[in-house]
Amino acid sequence: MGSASFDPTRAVRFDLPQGSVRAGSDGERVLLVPTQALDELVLSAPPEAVEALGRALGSAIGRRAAARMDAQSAPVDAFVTQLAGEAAMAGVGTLRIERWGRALVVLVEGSTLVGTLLAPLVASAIEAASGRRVAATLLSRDERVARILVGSEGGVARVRDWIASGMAWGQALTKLHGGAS
Amino acid sequence: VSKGDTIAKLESLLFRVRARAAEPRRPAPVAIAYAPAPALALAPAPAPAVLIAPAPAPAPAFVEESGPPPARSSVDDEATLAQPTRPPPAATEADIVVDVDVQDVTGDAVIGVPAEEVPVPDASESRERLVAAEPVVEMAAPEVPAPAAEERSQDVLAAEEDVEEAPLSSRRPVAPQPEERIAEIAFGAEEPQPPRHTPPPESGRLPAAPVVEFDGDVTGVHETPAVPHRAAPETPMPRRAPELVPEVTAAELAPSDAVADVVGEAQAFSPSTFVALLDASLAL
Repeated sequence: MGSASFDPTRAVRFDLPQGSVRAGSDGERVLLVPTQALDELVLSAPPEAVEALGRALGSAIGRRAAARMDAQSAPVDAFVTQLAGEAAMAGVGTLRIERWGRALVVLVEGSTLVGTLLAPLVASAIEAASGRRVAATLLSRDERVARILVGSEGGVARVRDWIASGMAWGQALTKLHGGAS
Repeated sequence: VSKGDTIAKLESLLFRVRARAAEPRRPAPVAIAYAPAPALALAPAPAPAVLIAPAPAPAPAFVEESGPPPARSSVDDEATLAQPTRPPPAATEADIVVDVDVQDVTGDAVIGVPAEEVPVPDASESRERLVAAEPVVEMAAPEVPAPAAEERSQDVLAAEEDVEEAPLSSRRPVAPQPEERIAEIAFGAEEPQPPRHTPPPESGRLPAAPVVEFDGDVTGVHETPAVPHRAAPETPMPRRAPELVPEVTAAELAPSDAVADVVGEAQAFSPSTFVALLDASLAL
């Protein structure tokens, strides 16, 4: 469980006679959904529904990652490896982390999901894997990379307000550390 | 001689003169001369004088000194020249030559006293008085060619009647004001002041304009002098632009190692586990 590499053997099982797909060690049933269907849902659903959807997707990823490691004692790279492995098995994209001082920033590359869906997904995945209640907000988003800040509810809310007021996300992170800005 | 006698003689002389004056004039050997100053005046003062001089008086000299008598006759000259030859004591009334000198300037009246014998009670006394008369001091007459006697007399009378007043345009002395004069006396004269007034231009006829002969062919229209045609300005030679030389001002910086001062506690933060990192992020 404390392996630094991710072992995807038998990570997903397709039961063709039963017409089911199962993932993880506990055989949780999954559904292969086209991304376009999710995009239409996100575009038409209210923000709270979108956030709930994202949290549900992320929670599943986090629980499967936590089954692969001792999250409380796992080093950063080991934790990131198992979490990124499970996110890749779910088709979310490639997941990495950045440390901006004490702030934890997660990068998701190559994802087809929209930003409003990715932020609650990442936060829920880490929360499920680590056992800590965390909050997340989207710092930036381009065609390849989505950068998401993970932190407390209060910290994330301040950074969101600063960015909404026009502050660059880098300055917002600096200010979050107590620096003058 | 008492006053009574003198008065009687004068009255007799006056009577005789009046009588003679009433008679028609005739040529007589009377010497008439002009004297500048009268000794005995029959007319009002500066008026003409009638001089009655005795026969032996130096009449010729008197005549010569006076101005040129214009109306003098040849008879006068003969009489004048003949008088000094006669001895004075033996002379009678007929021999008395009375020179009537009329002032050249005035000459208002010429009284001719004939030298013929006059019935005078005492002729010798009269002659004596006349001889005693002092010679008249002759005043120099202006050397101006004397016009006719009548014209001169009229002019002189007219001039005497009129009060001579300086014309407005004539020169008149300009004296400082009394106050200034007093101030000059008291404090001394200051800087010489420029002349206050300039004399007015002399009156008189204006000089005539010079006679200019005009030529009929000249119409007054002048031809414009030919202006030399200006040649087109030659294109100026392109001036060579001065070469620009940059002036370099550079700072001399010495190499130093202590340039960067990295302050980042986060960089020193290296959590061992992901949960530690997550807790640190949650602590922000």
